[in-house]
Amino acid sequence: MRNILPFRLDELFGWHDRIQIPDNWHDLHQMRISAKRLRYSMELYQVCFDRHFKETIETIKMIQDFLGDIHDCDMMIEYLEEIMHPDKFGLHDGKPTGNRAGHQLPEIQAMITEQIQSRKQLYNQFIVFWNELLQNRFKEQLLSQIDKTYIANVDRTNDLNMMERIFIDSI
Amino acid sequence: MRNKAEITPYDSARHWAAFYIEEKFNTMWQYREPVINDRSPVDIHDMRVASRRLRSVLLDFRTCIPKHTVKTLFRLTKKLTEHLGLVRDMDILTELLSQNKTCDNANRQSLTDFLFESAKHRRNEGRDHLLQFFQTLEQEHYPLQFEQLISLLRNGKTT
Repeated sequence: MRNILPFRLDELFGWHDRIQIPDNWHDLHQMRISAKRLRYSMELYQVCFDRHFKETIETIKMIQDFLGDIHDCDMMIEYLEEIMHPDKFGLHDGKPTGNRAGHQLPEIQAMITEQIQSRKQLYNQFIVFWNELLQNRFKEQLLSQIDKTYIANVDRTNDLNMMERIFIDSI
Repeated sequence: MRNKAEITPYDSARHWAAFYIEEKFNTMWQYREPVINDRSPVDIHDMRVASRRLRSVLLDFRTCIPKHTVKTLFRLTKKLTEHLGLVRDMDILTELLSQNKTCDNANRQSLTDFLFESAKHRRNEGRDHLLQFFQTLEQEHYPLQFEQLISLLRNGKTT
């Protein structure tokens, strides 16, 4: 726990610089994966922490949800751009050759623009949320929570070992 | 099976590994039949999430597991996540497209229909690959490998 959680936390916060560029879709996607890894590990070790830890996990889930919505837009944009590809639409010299979707290029372009707008809004909302976490020293607080819990559990284990020894000695 | 309350911070790492690998594998594998029968897109999503959780446990407890075993099981589980992902991506697309389905614009309507069909076609391709991969998992004795790993972690030997 003391190794894994800080490692996963570092992994997530390590994306900070790279996600400042809104179009860095690949890094935003990787950050989402890091958030998932951290959340899943936190859920495993939940039994070691007090009930407030659940709220911390919820915060990580919110990061994941923001990044998930951004990823959905990226996926849609990629799909639409792929559909616009000449091979798909039968374009010749940039003009539709009349296949089924060829005449719909302006509509596809409009759809892409809408998706780009939605993505921009989502990204801005996410950055506000992310910066609030940084301001509130979320990472440092979680690291301190992990440390305290680890030390408490080690103490408790030592107590248990001691009691076990006393018990064995008394037989 | 032991319930979650029985896991304590004072249990050994091997015990934790056995407990969570069993729990996460069973959760994931219960979706096998519904996914094969294509009952609902939700099953695909749930199995994909469960496969990710299983991979996360394998990674977190890799020091307790023989290297070769963790490598094989991680690789197969990752492949499964990827196959499920191809189908899931198309489900998300159709979901997003359905938000455009009700618009008044005739051009948009016709485009959405076209994109819908295209996504459906890709989904079917993805599903074919997924079904083939389930057969590969059977050939590789994937569930048995997990069973043996859990037994090894619990008893120090395989069944």
